[in-house]
Amino acid sequence: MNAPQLDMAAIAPLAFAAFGALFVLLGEVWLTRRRTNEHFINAALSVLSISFLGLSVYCAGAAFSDGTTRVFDPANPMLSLDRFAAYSIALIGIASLLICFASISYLPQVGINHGEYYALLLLSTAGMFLLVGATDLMALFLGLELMSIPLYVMAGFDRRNLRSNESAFKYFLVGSFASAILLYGIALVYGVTGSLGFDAIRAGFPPGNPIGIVGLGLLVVGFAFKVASAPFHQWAPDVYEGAPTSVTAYMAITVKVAAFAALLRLLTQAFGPVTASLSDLFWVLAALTIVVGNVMAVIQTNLKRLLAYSSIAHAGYLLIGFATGTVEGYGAVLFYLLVYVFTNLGAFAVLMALAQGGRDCDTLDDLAGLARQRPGLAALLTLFALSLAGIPGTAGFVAKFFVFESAVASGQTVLAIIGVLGSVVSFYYYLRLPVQMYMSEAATETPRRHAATGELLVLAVCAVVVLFLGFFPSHAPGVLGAVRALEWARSSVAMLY
Amino acid sequence: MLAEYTGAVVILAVALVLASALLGIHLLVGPRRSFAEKDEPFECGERPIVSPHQRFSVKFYIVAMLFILFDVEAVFMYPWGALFTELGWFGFVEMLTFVAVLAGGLAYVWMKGALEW
Amino acid sequence: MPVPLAHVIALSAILFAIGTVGALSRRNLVVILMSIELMLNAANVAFLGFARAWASLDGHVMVLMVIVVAAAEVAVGLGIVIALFRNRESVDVEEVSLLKW
Repeated sequence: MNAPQLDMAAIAPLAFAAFGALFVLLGEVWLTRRRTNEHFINAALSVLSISFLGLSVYCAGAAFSDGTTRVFDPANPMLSLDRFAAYSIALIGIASLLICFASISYLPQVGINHGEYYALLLLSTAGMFLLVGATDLMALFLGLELMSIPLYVMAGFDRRNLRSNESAFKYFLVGSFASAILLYGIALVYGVTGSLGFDAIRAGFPPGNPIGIVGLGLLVVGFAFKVASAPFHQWAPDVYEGAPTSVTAYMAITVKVAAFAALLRLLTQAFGPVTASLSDLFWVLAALTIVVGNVMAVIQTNLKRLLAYSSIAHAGYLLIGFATGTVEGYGAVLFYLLVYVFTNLGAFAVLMALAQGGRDCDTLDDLAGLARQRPGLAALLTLFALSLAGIPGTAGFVAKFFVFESAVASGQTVLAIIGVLGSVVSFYYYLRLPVQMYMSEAATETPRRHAATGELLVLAVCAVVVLFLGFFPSHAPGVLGAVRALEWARSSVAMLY
Repeated sequence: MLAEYTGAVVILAVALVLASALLGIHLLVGPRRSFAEKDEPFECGERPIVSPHQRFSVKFYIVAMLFILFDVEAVFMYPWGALFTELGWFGFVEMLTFVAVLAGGLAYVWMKGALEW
Repeated sequence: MPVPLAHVIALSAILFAIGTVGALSRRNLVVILMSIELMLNAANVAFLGFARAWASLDGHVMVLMVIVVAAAEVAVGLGIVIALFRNRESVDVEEVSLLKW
């Protein structure tokens, strides 16, 4: 047998992240055995991870502008780096990279300054890269597990803290349960098509076969668990609340991008001919998720729980795009994910910058009087809250507009109305943040630390993106703006067909 | 109708017969003498000094888990071993990469001191 | 004479159902872990049955992958259980209730 012709460029982003994890892991023990200053170790490992992620993002960016589809092993296509994968990889890579920046000062503040954090983060990111590039159900399952297993550990990273333990434990139980359901779905799909590759499934999936329908249903349920869509969302608030804030940010943002991107590819490349029949299922999921997320968020007093329900509601808006089943709808989803990453990351970065002395800033009361003590952070958190709510002038508005527009264009007017009503409810709980910061004073004044350079960098990047995409929905060709970003997203989706 | 299961039934029957034969012969033929020391837990006069219902040290779990992890990875070597000559140098290099990654994991565990008793 | 595919799939469906019910209804962490393993193994049985029916090797390779992934998952799961147990001295799910549902 001859050696297969492999295209190493197709796995470059994945390889950088995975080998980066190995380097960071070995670097951690090597450095700690030399008993160097632990703040130095933390910063060094963070910079190492950032450089590996930077290389991944660079490769993905080059592949995106190149526009060609590279398949790792053309004789047996399981993994490819195409425009869609490159877009998702770049998005996930940038989010992970920014979280590494913010973690440099956050981890010592809450006393979980262990280098394995970065290795786990890189491994999980590698899993996401595999997940979004997978064109075979085997690669998809491996990517999903490689993404999830390090995350279970990261959720419990503060291992002396009972809440963190519980968070890890719940995430593990729900996550592995969802994986098992998804795996059984893969088994049934394999049963009716005799193949695990997306192309073969597309060619051979029998539309009316009950086993095939059950298999596809189990796959969707597995993904619904992973993206925390109602009625499979109950784990999310608990897990998000208990985990350290940087981990919460990581799982709220990147997991959602990776899981939605993989679902999108699965539904178009593998199940394209039968996706229309799923429209009603996604309609129900989207409506339920929007209602549950927004209503439950109203009664929360814990910031991380509030952001958890908010991220559930955002999953609902994203599912609207899936209910349309059109290229415009999917393109709007991909653009929404871009905005979601930067808006949510900004909000979480403010919370990370407010953590100090071994304590997370996680209740609404912790925000009282922030406007006077740290006016800059208060203004930024207000901006991100407004963008999450979708106030015109912010990126959040543009993203929601595109999604609702695609829904109306494909005749899902009722769903768009539910989405708009949900957004109106969401104004109430998002505006509680600025009200708390600007209008109430803390009962006991505690001095707050200054935000570190890494956190400031993350905040600056997120604020610029949110304002830029919000203020310049430029139609002029060649000019960077929301419309151009939407074109990128659409062209990425269009190549899946 | 269930002729497909003949093989399975035969295996089950052989297993049952073998197991009950081993236990039964022991019961029938084995000598049976009972005295005070024989009835004690260690059957030799050595008295147990603590209750046997103790918690095991967490080290047992760590070693057991590490064993399972590295043991299960060996499953990938069987297909490679079966096709060793056909896969040639490509397969060899691929397996070396795989083992190198595993060795990285082992090096981490070792240097962290998880293998020290 | 081989066992018919329908029997294999029926076995796998029964195993999956037992695993699902166990994972949802049992209260002991370790039993829940075992139930989830049962669900994964039910999928393995289905993969092997289908692989033989289609005379394709993909199912066999998938089973190897699932076995390895399941081992990693269990190792992490037991690690989490030990961390929880050290802090709380219990493996009962009902008592894991600091974070309210």
